[in-house]
Amino acid sequence: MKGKIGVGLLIGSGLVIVALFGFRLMHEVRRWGSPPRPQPLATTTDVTLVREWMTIPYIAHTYAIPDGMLFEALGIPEKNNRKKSLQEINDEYFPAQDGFVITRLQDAILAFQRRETLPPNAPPVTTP
Amino acid sequence: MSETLSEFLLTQVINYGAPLFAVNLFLGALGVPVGASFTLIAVGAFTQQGYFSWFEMALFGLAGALVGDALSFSIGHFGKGWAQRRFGKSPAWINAGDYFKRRAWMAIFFTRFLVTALAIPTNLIAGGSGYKFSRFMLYDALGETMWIILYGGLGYLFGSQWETVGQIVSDFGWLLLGIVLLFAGIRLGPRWLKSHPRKKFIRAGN
Repeated sequence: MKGKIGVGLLIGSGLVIVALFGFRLMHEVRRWGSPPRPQPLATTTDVTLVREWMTIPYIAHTYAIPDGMLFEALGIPEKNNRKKSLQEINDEYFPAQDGFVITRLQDAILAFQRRETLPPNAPPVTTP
Repeated sequence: MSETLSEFLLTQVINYGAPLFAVNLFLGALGVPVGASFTLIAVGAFTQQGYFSWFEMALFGLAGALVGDALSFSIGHFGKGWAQRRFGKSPAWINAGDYFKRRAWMAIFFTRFLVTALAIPTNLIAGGSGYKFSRFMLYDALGETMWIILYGGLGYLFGSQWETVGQIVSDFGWLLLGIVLLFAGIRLGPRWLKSHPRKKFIRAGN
């Protein structure tokens, strides 16, 4: 009896996993588009790639922009903030505005790329 | 994969580099859901940017994964006594041990980079079945090297698309696991039916 249940479980779970992840995989590949085109990260200018887990020095490296300029755009000190993720900086300095840090940095990168001056629309920083 | 934990670890890898990457792969090899394959693909992309040295990251990552695998092998090895007492007389346990020994190298090698969800059970079974440690480490090192080259290489090649690539690779791994389970069930089914023939009910009087 135990063997019968074991075989049933193997086949049943196998079928469920194949169906679920087969569908997901198909969906992902379709969404990706074909043929896949390798895009080196070193040459990217696409600001939609900025994520909450990134740090300011890493973003500065990715978009070849001085990191001091990014700290300046946010109006926060560089000291003690270099190793913090964007999410941590947002929670600490701009708790009332979810996603503000990412948007502001994207604007700063775009302004740098276009050689424009970033408008000073940063809200007042909350002192942690 | 725990998204918050893997994102936290990505931030730390960016901050502290190779040692943290080694810790990440070490934890992954012990079964902690840190998204080790995902991080490996990300690190491939970071090395392409010149943010890290690919050689240093590969070396530290490999070391972390190997130490983690050796530790999970040891857990299987030292838990052998308990498993022997509990299941030692069961024919299924004996058969499973024999079956594993015959195909151990394949199981160890391919679960490092193809069906990664089965890597931890394979380490535990290898340790518990009395498989030779040096041989385990040889196939383990080959498989982990393949994992680092393949997954890191994908991140390196696809750069800005590494998140999509990570998702596709993860789904593909799960799909393979499903196929392995299905295949095992289909192979074991007839064997089970052979060893348990249907009882014929004879009516009284016939």
